[in-house]
Amino acid sequence: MSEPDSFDEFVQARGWALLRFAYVLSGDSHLAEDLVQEVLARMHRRWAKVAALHSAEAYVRKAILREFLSWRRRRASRETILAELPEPAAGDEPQSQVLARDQMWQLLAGLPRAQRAVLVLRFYCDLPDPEIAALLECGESTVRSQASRALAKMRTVMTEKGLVGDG
Amino acid sequence: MDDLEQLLARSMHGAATDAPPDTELLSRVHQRSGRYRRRRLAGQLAGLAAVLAIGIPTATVLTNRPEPSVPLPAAQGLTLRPGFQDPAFPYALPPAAGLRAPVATLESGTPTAFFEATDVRRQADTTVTVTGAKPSITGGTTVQVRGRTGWLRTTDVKPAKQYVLCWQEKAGQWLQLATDDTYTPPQVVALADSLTSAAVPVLPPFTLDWSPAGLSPDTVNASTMSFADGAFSVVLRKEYALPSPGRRLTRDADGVRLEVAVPDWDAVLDIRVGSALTISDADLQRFAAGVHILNRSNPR
Repeated sequence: MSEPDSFDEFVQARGWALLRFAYVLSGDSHLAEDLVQEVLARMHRRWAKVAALHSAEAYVRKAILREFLSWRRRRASRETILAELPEPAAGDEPQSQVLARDQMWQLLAGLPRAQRAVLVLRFYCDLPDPEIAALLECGESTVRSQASRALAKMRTVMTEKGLVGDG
Repeated sequence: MDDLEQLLARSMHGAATDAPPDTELLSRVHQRSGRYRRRRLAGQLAGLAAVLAIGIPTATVLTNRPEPSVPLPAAQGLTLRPGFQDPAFPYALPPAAGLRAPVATLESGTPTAFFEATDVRRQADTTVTVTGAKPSITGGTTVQVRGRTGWLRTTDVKPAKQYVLCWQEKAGQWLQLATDDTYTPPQVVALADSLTSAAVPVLPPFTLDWSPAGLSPDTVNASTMSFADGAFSVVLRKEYALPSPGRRLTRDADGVRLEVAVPDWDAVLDIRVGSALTISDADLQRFAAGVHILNRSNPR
């Protein structure tokens, strides 16, 4: 896909994709808006340089990711508790699936920021571990262990709630 | 992908559709960008205005200066010496939440440290400038700062009142702190009281294998390194056409100029040596070959 030339064109073309990414990352619509606005406002002044990069959008996403990790550091006390989930509804399948997704979303919100970022990059952005490691500036083994720990934690809670099997 | 992972992926993609709309994103980004720019300009202009508009002699007060500047006689022979020691700004505010680490610059012989506020509710952009003579601040109130007499001037402008506080730190060195009315006047004084000795490096846009011997840097910013009031300068400029092979050497009454195309950066390296200095073509080429452009540079 060709990159839009001007800053305004980029924001108009890719703004919602960035908001979606920030929202999945942060789990909070206000924070997502703030993250995206903050990163784009900072890049506005230096857009000529950013636009000259091979992929401006990848650069912006990386900046959002780093901003999120930094913001979450300051707001770590707001992370929620993993085990507080609504009881699963016994009913028809679609409703149950919707509830399962809601519960999954809550579980995700309770993860430490780095684990959540790894899961989002792996399952929302479909990135392979080497690319995730490069984005997070850590080793691939760290990515694997973060993902493994997060999934294990989620699996335990979900199994206790009878939502999914052992996998 | 097992059940849990599939559910997780579906959950994320489903939740993404609940992301906030982008209808006002562009205008909000412009507003925020404009706000940052205004705040930055306001902070910088307050500092610079006090330095320039009231005519402060810009004495050399940098630490780590390579050598004292010497007056330039006509056609002084210029020699190169290995390396270049980055100048440093000699003071810093203590680290604080919502205030970035300082960015030091050197413009026209005046070293300045800029502390950018990231939490604009609790902190304000703050600029600290060091000069060699007393700023002639008109008006303002007398305050005690760092155990000395200082002057605090308030300028009532929009969007925020600007404060400029100046005092003599030691013989031959005056400090000036400019900020805005995010802080109260006593807080401005307290901010100045909290300054400590430091060596905040003025980050150059290039590394130099060679530098002009005996000439002090007077400007170091994202595009420029200049020495001895611009008598010797190297500037990264936005790309323009040069004759093949992308290199031009010219000598005239104003001095000598070497322009070198830098295709990787879409830029041209423009090296000028004024007529008050003499340098051989070979030395000029040697100097140019030793200029290594850093990522932080920004062609002008």
